[in-house]
Amino acid sequence: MRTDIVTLSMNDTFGGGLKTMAEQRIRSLPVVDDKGIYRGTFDLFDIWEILLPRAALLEENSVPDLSFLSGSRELLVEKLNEAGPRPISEFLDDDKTSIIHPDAPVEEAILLLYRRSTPLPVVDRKNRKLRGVITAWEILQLLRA
Amino acid sequence: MHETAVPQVIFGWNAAWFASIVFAVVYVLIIAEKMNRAIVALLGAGLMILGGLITQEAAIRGIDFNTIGLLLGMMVIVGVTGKSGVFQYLAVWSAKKVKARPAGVLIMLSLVTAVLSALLDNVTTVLLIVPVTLLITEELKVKPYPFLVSEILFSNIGGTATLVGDPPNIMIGSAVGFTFNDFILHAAPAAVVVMVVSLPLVYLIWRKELVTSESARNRVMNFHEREAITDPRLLKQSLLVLTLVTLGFILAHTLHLQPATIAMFGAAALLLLDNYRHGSEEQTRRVHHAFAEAEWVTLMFFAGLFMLVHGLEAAGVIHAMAKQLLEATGGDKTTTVLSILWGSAILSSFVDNIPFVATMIPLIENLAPTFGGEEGLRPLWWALSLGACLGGNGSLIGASANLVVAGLADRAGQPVGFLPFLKSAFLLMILSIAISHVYIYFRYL
Repeated sequence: MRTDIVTLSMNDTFGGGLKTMAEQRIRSLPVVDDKGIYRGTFDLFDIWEILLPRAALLEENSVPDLSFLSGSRELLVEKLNEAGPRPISEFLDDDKTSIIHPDAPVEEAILLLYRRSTPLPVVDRKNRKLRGVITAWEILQLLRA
Repeated sequence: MHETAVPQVIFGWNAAWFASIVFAVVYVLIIAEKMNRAIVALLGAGLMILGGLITQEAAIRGIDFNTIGLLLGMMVIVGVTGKSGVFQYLAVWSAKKVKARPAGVLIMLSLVTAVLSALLDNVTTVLLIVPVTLLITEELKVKPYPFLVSEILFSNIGGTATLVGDPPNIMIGSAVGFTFNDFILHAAPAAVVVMVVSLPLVYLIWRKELVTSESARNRVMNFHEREAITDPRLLKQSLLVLTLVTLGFILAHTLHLQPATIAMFGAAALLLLDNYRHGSEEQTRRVHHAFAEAEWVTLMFFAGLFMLVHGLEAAGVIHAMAKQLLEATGGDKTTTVLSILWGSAILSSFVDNIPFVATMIPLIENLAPTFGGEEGLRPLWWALSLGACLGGNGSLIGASANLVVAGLADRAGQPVGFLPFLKSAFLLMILSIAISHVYIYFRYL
């Protein structure tokens, strides 16, 4: 488990999260409140969702591919700028990011990474405090040692 | 219509009462929408058999397999065709034809929806056209609301025009033996007039929202619609089968074929063309997928309703209802026809039109002796068809296609509310029925 992690606070905005993510080259950022309690994760998927046309996110009735679009950088930049001031809390209500407890078996961590390959926040079972994250590299290192 | 001896007393009730109560409870549960409609209809059908009103054999004879086969066949054909990307192509192509001007796009997408809905099932049409509409409006940076509402309206208007366009027409056509051409000659003219009158109104209602920038229009003009065709081979095969099936419908009467035969044969032929190159395991997977995509809930709902109405008929309830209708209209043909038109329209606005039409069919058949046999009933059938199909536009719950669009819009974060829809759509629906009133009056009465 890594404990030297970059986190976001509940006062951050989408734009702030995006800046941290791009500058630090991190795919996902756990969000904690001022008491250190884990509130959710802001990750690359949140950014892709802002950028993609809504019609591509309709699950089974989505537009199946976007190969016919004109590829407008201008529109995409506009979408990012529009989302910029939105509070980070708007992006935390999904249950897509799994968490793991400190006492969970390694198989559970592998299963969660298999389902959605982003670092796993390790959250205390009782007080919901963020302890650190587990990445795929730590698991590989553990198994190779 | 009493084909089996009907017990006079069931669980201490008279047969007609028992059937009426089951029917009324089923109707209320369907309207309440708290429970899946297929479950409700099949339970009701089961009670008719368990109560001894009809035998299992009679119940199965009551199911109109021509309606079910036609729906299933068309669902499979459209599902397979949709994979080729042709509907995205068509929507983008039509938007570019009007230089991506929002007002033009609104009119073009409404017309495309109407034409597709006339040839295909409404629900499938909107499922295919709404996602690409959301995409185009997002690129144009205009609100999708007017476009989605207009697509609901025109899918129901387009569906009114043909035998295969809307379930009420499929049911009426099948029960009475009206052909594809009968609908083109009798229902389509009214639908075309309604369309021509509604298009400018739709534009007038929403014209203020149809504004965009030059750069947004350029984005859509730079779409490469050809890239939307993901499987050119499947596209050719699908269009060939769809053309042959439509020709089959037109020639059905001459060929002595029922529409279900044509649709199911077309579905099987398209599945053959799409699968023969694959190994048997892959074929099983693909065919399973094609059939699974059909709307089985709707099909089972139909089967249940047909059996339920058959039970009601066996108990003599339909006959009694027909008598009541005649008493209310004084046996006057004009009054009866126009009451059916307006009554069906208002009811279909708020109640699923499928159970309503399923009940009205045997009821109208019961009126044959009064109005001079089968020939005399024709205006009543057209009144039922126009009323039930166009009535679907009265509210957001008036037809399945409306709910499908509302569901997709909701998921895309662009909800279509019940009341805002009602405000514009109900008036347009009343106008369409007024047009049908004039049409029926001058043509048939």
